[in-house]
Amino acid sequence: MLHLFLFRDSNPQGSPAGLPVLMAGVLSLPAVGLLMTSAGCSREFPDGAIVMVQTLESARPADEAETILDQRYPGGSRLVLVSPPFQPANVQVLSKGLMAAGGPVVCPSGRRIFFAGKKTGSSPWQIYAATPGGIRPVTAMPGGAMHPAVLSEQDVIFSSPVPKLRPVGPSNGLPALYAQTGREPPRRLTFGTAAASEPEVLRDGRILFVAARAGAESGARSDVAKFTMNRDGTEVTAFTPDVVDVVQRAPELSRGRIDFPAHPGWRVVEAIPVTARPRPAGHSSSIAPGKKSGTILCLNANWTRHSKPNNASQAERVRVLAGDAFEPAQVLGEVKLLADGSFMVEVPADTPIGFETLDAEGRVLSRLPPAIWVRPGENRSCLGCHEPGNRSPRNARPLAATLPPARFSNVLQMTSAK
Amino acid sequence: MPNDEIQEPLSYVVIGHTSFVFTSSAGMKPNGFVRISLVVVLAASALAVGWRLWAISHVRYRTGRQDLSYVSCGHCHFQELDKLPWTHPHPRHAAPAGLEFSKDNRKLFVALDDLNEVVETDVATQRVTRRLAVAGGPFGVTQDVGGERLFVTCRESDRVVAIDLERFQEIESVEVGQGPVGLAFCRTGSGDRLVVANLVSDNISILSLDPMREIARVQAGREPYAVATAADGSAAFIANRLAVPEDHLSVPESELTILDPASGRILKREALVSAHLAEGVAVVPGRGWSLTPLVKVRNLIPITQVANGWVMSSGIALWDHGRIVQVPLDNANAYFADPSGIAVDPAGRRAYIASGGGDVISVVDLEQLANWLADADEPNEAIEDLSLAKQYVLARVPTARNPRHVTLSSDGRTLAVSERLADSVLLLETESLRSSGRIALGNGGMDDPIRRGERVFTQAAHTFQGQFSCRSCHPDAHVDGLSYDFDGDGIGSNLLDNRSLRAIAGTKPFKWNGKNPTLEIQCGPRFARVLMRTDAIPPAQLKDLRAFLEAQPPPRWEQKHNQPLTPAQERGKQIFFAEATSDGTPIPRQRQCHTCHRPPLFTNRLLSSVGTRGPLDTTDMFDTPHLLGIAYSAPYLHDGRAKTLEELWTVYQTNNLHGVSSYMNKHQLNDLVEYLKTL
Repeated sequence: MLHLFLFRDSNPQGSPAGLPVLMAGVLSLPAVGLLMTSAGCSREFPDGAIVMVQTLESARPADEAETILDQRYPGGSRLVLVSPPFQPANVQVLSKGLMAAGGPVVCPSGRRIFFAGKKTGSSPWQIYAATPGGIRPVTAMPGGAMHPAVLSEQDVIFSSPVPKLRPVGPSNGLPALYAQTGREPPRRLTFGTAAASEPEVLRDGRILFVAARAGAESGARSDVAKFTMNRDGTEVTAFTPDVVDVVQRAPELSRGRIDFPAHPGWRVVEAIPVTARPRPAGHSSSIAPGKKSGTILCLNANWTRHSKPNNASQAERVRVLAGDAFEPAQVLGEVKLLADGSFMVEVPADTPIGFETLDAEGRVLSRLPPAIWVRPGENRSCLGCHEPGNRSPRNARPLAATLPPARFSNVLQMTSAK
Repeated sequence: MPNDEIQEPLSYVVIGHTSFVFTSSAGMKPNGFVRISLVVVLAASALAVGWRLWAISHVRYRTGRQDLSYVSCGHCHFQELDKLPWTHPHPRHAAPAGLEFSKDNRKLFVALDDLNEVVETDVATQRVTRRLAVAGGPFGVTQDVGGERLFVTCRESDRVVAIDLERFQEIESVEVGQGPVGLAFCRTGSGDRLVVANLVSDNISILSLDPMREIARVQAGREPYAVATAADGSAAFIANRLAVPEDHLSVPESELTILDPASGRILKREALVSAHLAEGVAVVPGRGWSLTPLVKVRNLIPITQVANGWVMSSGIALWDHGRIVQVPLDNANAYFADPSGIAVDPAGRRAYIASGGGDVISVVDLEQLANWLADADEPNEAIEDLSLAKQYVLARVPTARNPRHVTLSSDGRTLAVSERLADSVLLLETESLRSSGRIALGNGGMDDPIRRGERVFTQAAHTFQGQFSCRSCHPDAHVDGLSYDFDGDGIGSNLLDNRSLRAIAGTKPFKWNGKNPTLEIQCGPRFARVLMRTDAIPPAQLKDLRAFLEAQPPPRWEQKHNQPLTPAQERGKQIFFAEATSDGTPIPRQRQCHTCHRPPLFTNRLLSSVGTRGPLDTTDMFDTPHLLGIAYSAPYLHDGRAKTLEELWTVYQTNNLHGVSSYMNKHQLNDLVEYLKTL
């Protein structure tokens, strides 16, 4: 009998990606039936079904794996649907025709499963959608796509390209998040200099994702941070969890344990119940597609996590940077802080933006390398520089809001070149 | 059809964007019918053009404005108040307001303001046992120390009524200030007292009993709402709902008024900085605290985001022997909007706070709160830390729609919660925090679109993370007295005063720039984008919301409508409708008050320039607001810069552009203001 333990990690900090995860473990072998299942309510998939990823026990450690997905889901990995009463006859292979598959997510209606798969050893990983009627490719991204997350039946978020394990550098490509609705072209959402991956849809409609610093080795803990953004890529914000129950995923199985007939030779690496769940909240986009710039308002550049306002070295100016992952940052210009520490600048949209606060002598007091962005027409605000998480602003009229935003000539050049 | 039979157009007549094509049939000459039709159409076109030219001329003559083109007749004509939805009777509902347990905790008395009733319910059977008709919108309730009399505020009739609880009959009443809502009883060295918060007249009535008599009326902050008294009768705490208007760019401060209930003497006026909408207050036994749930508002910051309480969040003001500490009630990713009623158990261990927008009771461990307070480094910044509440909020207990008032049994074991828009009272066992039952007072009114619309209006689930509801800015569908900076037109531009939603039926277009032709557009996708930051309200709910909004009369309409004018008001009316100054100099039509503020709605629903453009405005043309209930909707002008009606002309008048006022002396201006207050 195969015992699967499925549980939600109660501490988002604990998992490598900082996300609640369903984990599966194998305890013993001989087969019998079901002990406990979740109460599924899918109309098209059988009630109580579970989607699992199986890898061959004989699969070799992927020393030669080309990408991180090849490493996690070696050739032969497959997606199977198992249904009550969990007998071998109730197992259906969903990823037929694919050389490898993994990373399934179930859409809120419970009627569709998105997953990553590849057709041949040399073809890139792409996102597929599975229904009881079969599978179809969803993406056709150069360099592949991975980590699907679902907003609704037709809206999927994913990361692309799939990072190669070696070499690390510009030729490898930097994963960014994309959104795709049905068969429409994918829309890029993230524009930072860090790889963006492992998106998760929160119940408030935001996308929680993981970003690593550009050029850092994959999996290095100190280089991983969590961020949120809206589904249109606006309001990118460092995420500081307070209430852990914010993730809008399929619920864990009741009481966390199920016995399932083992498939000799296969190892289960992921398992998710195929059930419906409340649709995450929506978001009305404020993007102005015709614009090529956005505005950033900082309430007090002297407000940082480490120093409260008015008791640290006071910055007098802010240098605004733009850059990309593998090139030195470009200085857009400098703006003088107003008496309350506020400033407002117009910056090019969809471009990594960074800041340096400078004292009167021009020394750099704090630095944010180009890592954040604004979408076209977005108005973005922050409390300060590296301000503590989960803080509300103090109610005061920022002086910068009484003046037009600072505009730099090279911003104009950058936006006109777009 | 063969080519030779193709009918060639005989003539074209173009009217607007429609081309009428006349053809002869089978190549024949036009018959008589076609000729007549042509003549009719041409004549109609000529008439239409003539009408249009005359209409433009008429509008320009009557308004004195040459910038106006064609406007529909409805801007000035065919406006009849009795055709507006808010003048019509609407269904009444058993919405529970104030609650009070009997001294033996077996009965629960509930005020039903919409039904003009006070009911006695049996806690064990959860049924209504006696009903008493009490006119004037019975709202707040309290009882004397012996549990013999129940005192009820009647917010529409400006009275406090005493009810004999044994006979369940009204035994006496007394007139107080306008719009009494909250009240509290206390025993002082000078005798028993009732302290009454008069919402509309912004003052506090002190009543002595035996017989009931008003012995003092003292000025409060703006919209005093809730009252609590210290057990020893030494102090009464009055929570005021709104900030008194000051400079619209300064931080708003509402007031916690503290007075001596024996005499009515003010002991202190504490400022709740950047906080308002306080609708509850409670005294904590054994600690000397008072607790006031509030909305922490951040109206001065451009609304570029909603996350992290950027617009507003919920909190508690803790008054601790003279210092005030504000602490958050929300979590970082979960908000509990519109905190309202509060009850503290007799041991001072827990506080229960109703969140009317979030349909939740938050249970606060006061011991934990005290521990935090003892160790707090910077308590003045606590309200900004959204991760703090988990240190002292024990539980969030879900309720039915719109919990507003709460009360505890004298043993502290049962909490009663008025679920106002569900017509029910939830009974909670405080030990287990489980429901011990629910008293059904009505059916919830789901067959009434106005009621359904009120549910939408008060439902915070329509905003990102449930941070606020429509009511959070429009208490009683009215104003919060603040100006906001929406970022749809850029950061910092066009600071906008929050307009009242009362008496808006028939006053389209909406918004200060007049861009929204319907309430559905005003409250639908546009609002979802600029403020709610989530899904737009679905069309069916928008329709209900519109029904609710259009059913809202001006404040105090019943009390003021068709009342005779005082001499000063009559003189003010003459000034309002004057076509010449005191010395006979004609006032240009475009500068006569009644040209733009045309009765009966007191608006012609057109954009006007009255010289009020500010340095951050991108236009000088603003929607002409209606004036119904204008006395209650301070501050004034599109950005809220005028604190009072007087300031419209004494401070912010520019070259007689906003009506000709330079000829008025102080008395004439006072008369004009007195008349405006009657609208």
